Amino acid sequence: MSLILRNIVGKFHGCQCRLAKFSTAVQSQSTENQEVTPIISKRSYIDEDRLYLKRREVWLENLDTVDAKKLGLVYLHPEVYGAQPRIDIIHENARWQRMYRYVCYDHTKTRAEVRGGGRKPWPQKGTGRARHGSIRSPLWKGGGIAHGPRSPTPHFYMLPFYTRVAGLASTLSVKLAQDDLHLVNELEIPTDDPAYIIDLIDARNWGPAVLFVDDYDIMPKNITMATDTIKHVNLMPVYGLNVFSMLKHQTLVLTERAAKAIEDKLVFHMNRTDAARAGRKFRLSQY
Amino acid sequence: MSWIANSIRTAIRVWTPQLTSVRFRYHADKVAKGPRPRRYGYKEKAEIRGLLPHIISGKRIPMPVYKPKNVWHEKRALFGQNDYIDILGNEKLHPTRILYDVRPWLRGVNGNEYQVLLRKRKMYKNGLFPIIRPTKWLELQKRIRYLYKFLNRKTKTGMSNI
Amino acid sequence: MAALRIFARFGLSPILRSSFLSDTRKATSPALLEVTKRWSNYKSSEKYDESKEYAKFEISKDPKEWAFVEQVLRKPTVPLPPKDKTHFPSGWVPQTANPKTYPYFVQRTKNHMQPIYLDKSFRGMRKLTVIRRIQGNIWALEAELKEYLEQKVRKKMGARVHEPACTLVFHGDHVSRVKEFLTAKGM
Repeated sequence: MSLILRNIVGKFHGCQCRLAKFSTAVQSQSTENQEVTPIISKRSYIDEDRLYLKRREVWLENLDTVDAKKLGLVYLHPEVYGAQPRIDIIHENARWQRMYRYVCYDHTKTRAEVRGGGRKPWPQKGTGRARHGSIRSPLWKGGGIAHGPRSPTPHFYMLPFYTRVAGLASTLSVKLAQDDLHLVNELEIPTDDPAYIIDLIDARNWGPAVLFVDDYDIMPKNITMATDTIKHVNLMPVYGLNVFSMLKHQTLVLTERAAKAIEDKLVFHMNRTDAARAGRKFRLSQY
Repeated sequence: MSWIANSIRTAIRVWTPQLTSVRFRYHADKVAKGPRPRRYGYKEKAEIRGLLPHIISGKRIPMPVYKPKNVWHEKRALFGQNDYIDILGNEKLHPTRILYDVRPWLRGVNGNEYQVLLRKRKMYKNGLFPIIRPTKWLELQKRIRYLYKFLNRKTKTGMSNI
Repeated sequence: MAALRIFARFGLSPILRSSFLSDTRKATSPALLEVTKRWSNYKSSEKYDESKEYAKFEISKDPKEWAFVEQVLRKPTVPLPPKDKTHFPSGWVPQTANPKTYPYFVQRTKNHMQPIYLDKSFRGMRKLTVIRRIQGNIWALEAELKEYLEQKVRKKMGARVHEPACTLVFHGDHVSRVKEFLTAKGM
């Protein structure tokens, strides 16, 4: 019954002229509010009354129409989605992501590696010329390079485990605070046409680049085909989510399941008993 | 006798053409021509015009044509994916294990040149590398030997003093 | 030498085992037995059998019994302290205040301890009291704590407020005084 009602409401929405929205402020939907049965997805947190921060309340939207419909309200954990915006930690994370995989392959040859140069070019004394011992000395043209780059130069370092957890929580909180994080019920869209996604992003005022995150890595067929040709709209499973991608894409769209999965993981890491083991120093031989 | 002298004089006067001096070289032309070239063929290498800005002579180093990167190429659009897989996914999988774009023996490796080369030697010594790249192998050994001597005999332990 | 070793491994051992060891196994000393088992190679070595290491056991899938096992196992996350109990023999005091009663709040760590630390540096010459996880109006807490500490110490207090990191630092070792102050407020 509720499904039928929702479909009728969807048609109502289609008839309405599109209005550019600049925030997810509450709109007066006097007629529709009576018809829609809102999905209030609550979750009581065991430590809710012990926290100063209030739980975050986020609208649940849909993707099956171009214009946004508010399907309900989702409560999110404040320590994950309402954490202190630590820009320094976010920067540390983004820098780490760039550096830890970076290996510089720039290379120069030293005087020992350049071919030749074993013989003394001219006698030490008596020629009137400057004294030289090798034609491959760094002073010579075509000689070796002193203190040049040597390949490979890894720039690896491991960011502490809990700095990375804090980085994720901080970035998610910043995204939510800046109204760049949206929750949807599903990633199902009616067509596999890229124009639909473009229109949808345009209508909802989501930034040019959008990252859709679901909790499972096999995505619905339509959205996969629609976003395949649009380079700045990407899909990612929860386990692939990271600080750099969240910063690169203006808008982050999570399914409700993904938001809960992220929340579960991060809250677990923040409260786990073997935190010392998780945060122990990285040793190459152990991994 | 004077008539003889006179007749000769007249005869000479008859035969001598009347000279009117015609000028082909004018001072004005010379001035207009500019200063006389000195040390023709010699190129002055020094800049002798006084306090002037630096003039680039000869061929300029070609400036590369600006080609904007495709910032949304797949490798850049999804850069950093799975870097937090131990937090958000499988806890037993460390992010260094899935750095597939880095050589296997360099994943999760940090250190100075000596440490990296020691690891390289350890990884390559049992394979074909010493046989099919003998010069590279020799140079690797030489470099390790040099760095061993340098680090152990010419630098101090502890806080860097070099 | 190597050839000898190979011969010893493949040629000699079956002969030895069949002729010499089989009938005199009980009589021979263990030292002689070990001579033939060299385990020099990965492939030649004996396979590890885990079941040999343990005493005999049977597998039970009774949920009632599992409850007893769970008591022994480490809990994955830190549990909440009991609500009705306020006094503990260790002297630890649980959080009693409602976080909204004061304009500020110092949140407990995940182990339910007060996040107040002593930072010693310069070989113990400089001591700093660091208060972390401050939420709400950090400046109000700083003003109140400063007044409290100045009354106690009878000295001017130096303080550093790091609002983005929610951290407050006092000069000197005042860890127990700050803990007293916060415990009195139920934080």
